[in-house]
Amino acid sequence: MLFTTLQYLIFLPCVVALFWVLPHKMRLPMLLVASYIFYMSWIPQFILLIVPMTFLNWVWGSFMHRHMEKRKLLLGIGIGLNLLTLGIFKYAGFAVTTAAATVGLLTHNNPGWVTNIILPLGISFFTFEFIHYLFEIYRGNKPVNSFVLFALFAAFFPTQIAGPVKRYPDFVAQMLEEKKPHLSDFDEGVPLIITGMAKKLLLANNLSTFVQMGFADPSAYGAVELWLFAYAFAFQIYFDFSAYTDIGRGSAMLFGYHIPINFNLPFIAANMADFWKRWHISLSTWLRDYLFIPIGGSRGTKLRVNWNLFVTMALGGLWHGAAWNFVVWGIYHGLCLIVHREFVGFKAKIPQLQKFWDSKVFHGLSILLTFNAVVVGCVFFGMSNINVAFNMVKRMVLVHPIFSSIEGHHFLVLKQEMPLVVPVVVAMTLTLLVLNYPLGKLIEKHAFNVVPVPVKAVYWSTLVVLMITFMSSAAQPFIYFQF
Amino acid sequence: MGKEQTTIKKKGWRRLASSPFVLIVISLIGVDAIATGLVPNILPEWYQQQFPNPDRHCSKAIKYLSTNNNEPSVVLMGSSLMRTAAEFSDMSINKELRETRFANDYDKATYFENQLKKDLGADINVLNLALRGCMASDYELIFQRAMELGKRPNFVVVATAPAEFMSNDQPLVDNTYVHQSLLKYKFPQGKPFYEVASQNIERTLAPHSLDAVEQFFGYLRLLGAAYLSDVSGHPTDLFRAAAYKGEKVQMLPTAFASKSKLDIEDAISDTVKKNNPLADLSHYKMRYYPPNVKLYNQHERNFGEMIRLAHENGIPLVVVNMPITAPNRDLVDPTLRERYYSFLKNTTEKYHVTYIDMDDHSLFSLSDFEDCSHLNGRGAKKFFTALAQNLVKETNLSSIAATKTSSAL
Repeated sequence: MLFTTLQYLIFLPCVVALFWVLPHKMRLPMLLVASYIFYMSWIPQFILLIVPMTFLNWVWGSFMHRHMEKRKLLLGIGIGLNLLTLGIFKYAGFAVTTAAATVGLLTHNNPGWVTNIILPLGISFFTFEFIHYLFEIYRGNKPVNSFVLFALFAAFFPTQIAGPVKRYPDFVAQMLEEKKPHLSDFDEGVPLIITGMAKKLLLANNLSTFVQMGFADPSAYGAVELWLFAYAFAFQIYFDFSAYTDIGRGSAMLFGYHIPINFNLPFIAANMADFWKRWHISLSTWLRDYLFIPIGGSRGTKLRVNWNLFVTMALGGLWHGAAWNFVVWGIYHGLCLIVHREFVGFKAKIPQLQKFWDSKVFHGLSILLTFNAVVVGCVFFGMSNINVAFNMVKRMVLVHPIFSSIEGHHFLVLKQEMPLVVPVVVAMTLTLLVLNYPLGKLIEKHAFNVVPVPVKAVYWSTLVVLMITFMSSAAQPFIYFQF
Repeated sequence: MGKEQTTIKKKGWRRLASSPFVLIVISLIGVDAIATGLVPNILPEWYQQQFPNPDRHCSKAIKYLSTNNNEPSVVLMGSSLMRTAAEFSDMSINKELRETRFANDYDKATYFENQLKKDLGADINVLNLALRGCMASDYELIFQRAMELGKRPNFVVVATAPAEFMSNDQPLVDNTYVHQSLLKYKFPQGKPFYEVASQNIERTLAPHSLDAVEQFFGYLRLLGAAYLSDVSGHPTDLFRAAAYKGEKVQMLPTAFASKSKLDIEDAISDTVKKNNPLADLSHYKMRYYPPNVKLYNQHERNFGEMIRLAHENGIPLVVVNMPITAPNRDLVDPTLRERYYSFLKNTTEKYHVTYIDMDDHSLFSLSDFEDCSHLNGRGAKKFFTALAQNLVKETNLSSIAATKTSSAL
């Protein structure tokens, strides 16, 4: 059941209505049942994975809490079991095919069942939530006593499939509160859902058609067009993923629950470190708290810290998908973070240049550079064939050839034979590029708060009408569902 | 912060008036009331044009399937090629039709019926189920539904053309508008209620074709295409069409490019020049290119299935290849074109079904066409006259008509 389908638009109000008419005691079990129904609407059999995993982690957390003297060992076993499950379902096929390709193993006897394992939806997200839970118990926090509450933490349908990766103390505290329906929750929630839907249906889905065209055969296009495809893809994944978060957060608000933000205008980040404070915030903070810090964090030599950064980002890349392109994407971001870190150190040593580095001009250049560096990284994110991705990046960076290889001195995307969506999306991408910074800054400064509520209501209603008008008949899944 | 606190302190209707949620609900109800209540009453024609009923093109097929009326002697199935032919040929008989051109509910083919009566010497009635935008797979769907509903057509004529197998601007077979419209007669088995309910709401809600919006973007696109195109190098663009009107011979389609100016002048009558029947060729170029083999395969499979179904159920079926203009035919990808012709020939032979190729160069010239694919009044009359003769000659329609007449007596 996709968030952007009418099925969900029927399911959500039914569950919200039921939630508010039921007494407090019945609400959480009802929400859990609804969340499991939501989960089973994909592949019902996977309920047999999420429920035992939830139960095991719940029991393990309590057990750890009672045996704190052996907590290190118990934490290791708990994390190991979670990673083993994740490994089997997400990475077994990847490992087998990589092994087969590199050392010729299993070439003639490839166990099909390994490579054909279907990735259960949301497994990466709830596994990380379980690991976080065990870590927090290890650090001395109290476990969750109610299984229903713990199960809901993992399965809560607004965040079930693609996060944000929640933190249980905050979530459980909210769940335990006896809530009353507040109009203000609907005032915040409904516009968030509409905004998310508009991002997905009006922007991401249309951009996707264009991006697919370019990524299918980048060798056919010149550098200018490849940059355009890469920009379009960067905007697509941003709108796609932030749309999911918006709809999820908005849906949760209708129950009176507040889920933390996951994106904070990432494309106006001034450097890579800033970018990761704004992009997929719940994941980057998880990686910081449960991977980067445990393996040493910022402690130790410069080399050691850089290594920690590199490992964290490479594994963070691998988390996104069992494919080498995601590892390359993670490594690329790791290297960018290391370069930034080194630059900050270098900058501090040259006070003469500090004035320039603190200037608005440098700040602007820095935003431009960061954005383009992110866009280059997006090529690896979106293209499973690494060689093709490297070739595309090479053409983009060298700006050669400028024009399409097929059409000589012409832009292929501007050919009249192209479907209508192509010129529309080209215009859309260029508009987004131009508006990215000024609009981002206005949003950051809450400039739109002064807009009268009726005007905002008309804006959101217009979005709804536009969505109904332009929505594609075929629902497209969210990109992050595959993770 | 201060402002937020003030908002929270508001009570009663003031609070409601400052609630985005309430205002969104009110404005959407307002839009809905205006769009579906007020506008249809004030501007009914405009509304029907802009927000047409999704089933409007399909209504006569739905009517045929959902009623238990006596079966007509001949059921005529086809796309707009057949539909416009029936309407154009009937305009001289039915004056009302001239005023309400392209009526979705028009289920007659009186000219054709009269020709058959004349040639057979028997009373016969024809039900015209030709639907605009009907694809090859849709014929099978309608036919299959008819079988499921216990209908037994006496004689079926299915007219098709390459575009019905390979139009890029059409969705895959399970998403055509005919398919969507006929869904309500058979809900997906075993699907949960909310899926069925949402499907129905989706069908009702989706504007399907907001003509004004489509036309606007279509216009922009054509303008862009015209601006970007090298006029002489692109024989099927907007400029060419415009130039063709201005009698600039060098801008005629490639099919005519090799001919001399005189040949072309001879081949195309003044009337044709005036009406410019090839103006929509560029549209067909987009439909045929790039060749969509997947879509073609789907249509071929479904159309073949219909022929098999007819054979199995003992329903007399005739497959007709509709005439189109030579430039249109030349635009079709040669490989798919060959596949199309051999598929029709081989499949009809396999199941002992009559196949009549009406795409006869010697019979139809450009002056018989309204545009690059649809026959005009003159062409339609030629077509139905020839078709009636062929049916009498090549099928057992006369015996069916005789049986029907005697049973009626």
